[in-house]
Amino acid sequence: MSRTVLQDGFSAYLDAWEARIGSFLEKDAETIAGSAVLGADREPGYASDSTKGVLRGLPFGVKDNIAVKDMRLSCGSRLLDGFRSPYSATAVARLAAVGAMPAGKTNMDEFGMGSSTDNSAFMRTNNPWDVERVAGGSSGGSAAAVAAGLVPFALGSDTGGSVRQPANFCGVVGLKPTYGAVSRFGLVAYASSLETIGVLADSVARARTVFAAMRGADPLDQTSFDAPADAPSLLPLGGKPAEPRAIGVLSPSAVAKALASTLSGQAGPAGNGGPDEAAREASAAAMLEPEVALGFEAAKEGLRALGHRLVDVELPSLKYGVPAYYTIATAEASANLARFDGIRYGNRPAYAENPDGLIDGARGSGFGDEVKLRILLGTFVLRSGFQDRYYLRAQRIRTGIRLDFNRVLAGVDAVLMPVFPTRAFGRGERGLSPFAQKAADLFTCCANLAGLPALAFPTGVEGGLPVGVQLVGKAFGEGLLLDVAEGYEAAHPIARPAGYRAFWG
Amino acid sequence: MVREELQATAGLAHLDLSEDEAAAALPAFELMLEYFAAMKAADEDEGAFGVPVLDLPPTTQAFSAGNRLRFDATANNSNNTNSNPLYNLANELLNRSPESENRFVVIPNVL
Amino acid sequence: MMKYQSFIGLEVHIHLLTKSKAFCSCRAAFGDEPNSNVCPVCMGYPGVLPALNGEAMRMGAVVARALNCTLSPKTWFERKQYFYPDMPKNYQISQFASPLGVDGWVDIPAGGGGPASSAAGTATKRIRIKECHLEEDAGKMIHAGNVSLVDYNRAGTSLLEIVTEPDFETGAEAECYVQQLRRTVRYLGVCDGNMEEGSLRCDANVSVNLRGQGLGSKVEIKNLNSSRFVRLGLDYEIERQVALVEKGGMVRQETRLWNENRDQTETMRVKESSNDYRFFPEPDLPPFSADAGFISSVEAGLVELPFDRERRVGSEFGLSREQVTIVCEERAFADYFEAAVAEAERLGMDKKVAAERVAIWMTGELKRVMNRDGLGAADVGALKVTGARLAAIVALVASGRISGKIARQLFDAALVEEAEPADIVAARGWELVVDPARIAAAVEEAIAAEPSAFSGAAAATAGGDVGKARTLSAFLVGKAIGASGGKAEPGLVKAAVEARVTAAATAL
Ligand SMILES: [Mg+2]
Ligand SMILES: [Zn+2]
Repeated sequence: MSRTVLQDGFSAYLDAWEARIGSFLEKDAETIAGSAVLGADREPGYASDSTKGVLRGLPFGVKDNIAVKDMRLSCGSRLLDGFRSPYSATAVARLAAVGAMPAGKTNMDEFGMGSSTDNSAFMRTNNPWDVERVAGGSSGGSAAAVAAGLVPFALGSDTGGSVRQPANFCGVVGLKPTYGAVSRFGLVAYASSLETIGVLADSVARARTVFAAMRGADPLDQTSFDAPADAPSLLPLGGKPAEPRAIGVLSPSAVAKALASTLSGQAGPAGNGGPDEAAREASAAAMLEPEVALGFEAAKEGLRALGHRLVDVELPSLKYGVPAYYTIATAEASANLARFDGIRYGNRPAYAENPDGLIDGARGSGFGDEVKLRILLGTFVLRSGFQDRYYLRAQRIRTGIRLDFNRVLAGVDAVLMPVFPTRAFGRGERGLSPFAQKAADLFTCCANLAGLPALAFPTGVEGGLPVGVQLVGKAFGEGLLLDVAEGYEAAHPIARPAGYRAFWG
Repeated sequence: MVREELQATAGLAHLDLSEDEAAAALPAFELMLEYFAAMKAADEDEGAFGVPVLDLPPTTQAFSAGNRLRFDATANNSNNTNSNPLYNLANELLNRSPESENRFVVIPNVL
Repeated sequence: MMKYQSFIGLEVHIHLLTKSKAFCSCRAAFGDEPNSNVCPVCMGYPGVLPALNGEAMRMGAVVARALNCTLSPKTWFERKQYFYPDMPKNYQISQFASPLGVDGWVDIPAGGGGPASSAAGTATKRIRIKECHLEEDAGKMIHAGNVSLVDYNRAGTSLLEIVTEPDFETGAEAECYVQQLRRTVRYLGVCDGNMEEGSLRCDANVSVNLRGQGLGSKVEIKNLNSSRFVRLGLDYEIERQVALVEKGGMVRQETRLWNENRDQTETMRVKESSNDYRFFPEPDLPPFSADAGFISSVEAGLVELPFDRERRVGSEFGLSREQVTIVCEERAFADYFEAAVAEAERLGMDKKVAAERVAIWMTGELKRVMNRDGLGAADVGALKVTGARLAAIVALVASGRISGKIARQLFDAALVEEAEPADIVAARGWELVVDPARIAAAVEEAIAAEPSAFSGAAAATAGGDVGKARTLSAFLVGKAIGASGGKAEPGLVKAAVEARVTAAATAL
């Protein structure tokens, strides 16, 4: 990859897009526009030389829950408005070490909790394909910025789909690596055992290069690992065709059917809408939008045409994935977000009578409603007397899902499934209810529960909006997924939104 | 009953919900708990897991790869290196506290 | 048999002497400037992760093994959640379901007779150790009027919590256990045991009940920050509870504080039933398996413990109980003792004699000098007078090459000079005169100077007045030693004087 030489007009291009989509919460325009390229060491707390390395001279967006020294680290929350990180995430430092330059912080759902980026305390991010629609979330700012061509790639975080879903909504490549393949050091924790830093990129090849530069064990994250020696190679395909693979295909309609039959009649505490309301809504949310179903079928055809062998597979455990995922995620979140108390950093009320008043005040006014809801849920499922029913049962289901994937992946190289049941949704009446947004995580969250790598890539445009699919692979099998997707991309070039210009080599 | 649980939970989480906030949060809270409670079906769903789910051990981490321990050495405070971004930051951290005095972080006392 | 039975369980927290904190590389030290040993990890910043200190695990396991616990083959950490301003993450990383070690025991002297009575022959009582678990400490708060000041230097330092079963019955037993535990962890070199600085902290739970009725309702006592307060606080609390029950009252479940100024326990807070720590496994740290390498590093850290050493030193060296207590107070001091005795033996002395002589020096002169210089028994290794050098001094005296008086001068010199005692003696010419000609000359000089004493001694000898003869001879011996400048070997001088007196008496 050669150093990017920007064409004239980039600054105007950037400003025009930003006015329409609002992807950055903070940006270093000089860096993005390229005038800072070759500016050597900008000393953001790590060795960086933008003249050297495989990503030399490339600016990148960083989701605002990933630390970049001296840049904001608000996580989309009022509580951390104005907070600047005193250190950089390992992933950021490793990218800088190969010449890339962090160019700004992208918008997100507060603390990663959401599927639209509308849960940001600061602003909305619009979808570059249709500004009336959301960019997806929670890494919506990163996805929108890449889709609009403002940066060649951006970092996101994926706890239950937060890289893949916005990538899918915006028509870019989204890689959620194997759990622990990329250090989480510097990623503000939402659900520690589920999440990874991921890549949103304008091409599969770019995602590969970025991932290869970031990955590897980090002493600052004792849950990070080096890939085993026999893991699939990350060497670029270089135009060669991808090796034909056995790809398991999960039938989305079978999953939705199983959901409907299993969850109903398992009433918990009676809700306002009756005991089956959750089950009904959940199975409705799992039904694919026709355009998405169309895209899925087209992708199957495309893969078959490239020589891959498609076989039907079943993952019967999947129907329990979302409640298990939200139980675990909110439980971990309730502890992870306990540190935000307005004492050592962050915002605190102007006056408090005592320490409890200060903590309550800081959290009460600092957190948005969705964050409060998830903290409440997570606190509840960990309370003594409730742990067995919720948290522990979810962790057992998680084991079951892991084993189910292992079983299926023993027979195929990867599993193909939709990313999200809908394309980018609209707002208000045309949107999805907060509950439906959660229930619709069913295709993404299972890779997080199992710790497996998953790659979402665009396969076409349906009804004016991008559609795509994801491949879930074996642990540390990113190379294989990238090969298949890169082959697909060569045969089906990624569509770009109107007004897109390619500035990045 | 659920409403009291919600307030007790909010207390543990230091969220201090007003009555209005609690009332507003309650439907979504209940709906999600109902959704969580549906996991009970898994206990007897051998079709989904091959075995009763209660026979499976809980997973707290997707992978583990042997012991990970840190060598007991202190960071060199006078020589901040790029490989270790965390040290020699004490003063910077103190500056980020909303209120500090004589190197202490200041909070209101319990009176 | 007393009507009531008391049950005391202790929870002792010790600061492990790791160089860095439990989960970050900040210095773990007491007394530095506030908030100077802090980093994003121990300040609970967004985005940071804990990284477990291997040495904290090893030290903790060494203590667990020394207390006869079984090491857990697999351990992990949990998050213990509660909000407190000096706890940066608002959860404590601690071990809950899988402590480092479980089911141990220690023996203490029955009745809590103080550590000295642990020597051979004393009856003992076995205290069950429930568990030892590793966790992180919180920061410190200073309350100053309408504000509190928080210092996070201590936040994240490694703590080992040692929990006993409710096996103590009296304050004296608990005090004895705390003193013994303090010496144990100092022997192991894993904690300085300083209770004033909070390196060793003791909480207790106490209940009383009619004998045979099992545990009563439990009261937690905090702020027992010296071993004396442990005894006073617990005895006070037992009396308080018995008096309450006697009057037909009920003991309330609560947390009480020992007030050292008023010599009583006082209510701190009534136990809230809503205390729900919501433990769950710490997802940021992988589980730890005690592998062969770890176990051997733990076994290598085990040393003979104070209780056992006192017993052995008492019987092997024939020291008095008082000497044993002083000699074994610190591992370094006992090591010094044994090294000195071994060296004296190598120099030809009898073991028990050497032990007696060395012990006298150590409990007397050596202790005096160390006290004077502000050194504790553990600092004995810092002295220029090593165990081997003390042995050399003792051996020089035993062989008659120097006098007891010279030995003290020699010791003082050896304290400041980096030199072998024999070399000092040679350089200063402190060796006793044993040359018969020089002894004879000194004796003749004394006789010449004191002719009446000499003739008196001869007459008394001839006349059978043994007492008078001895007195006058001793006078002459003193004079002769004086004539030699104090260097003539007293035994030889005495023999020479007696020979001269006897000869004179015979001639009468
Ligand atoms: Mg504790
Ligand atoms: Zn630290």
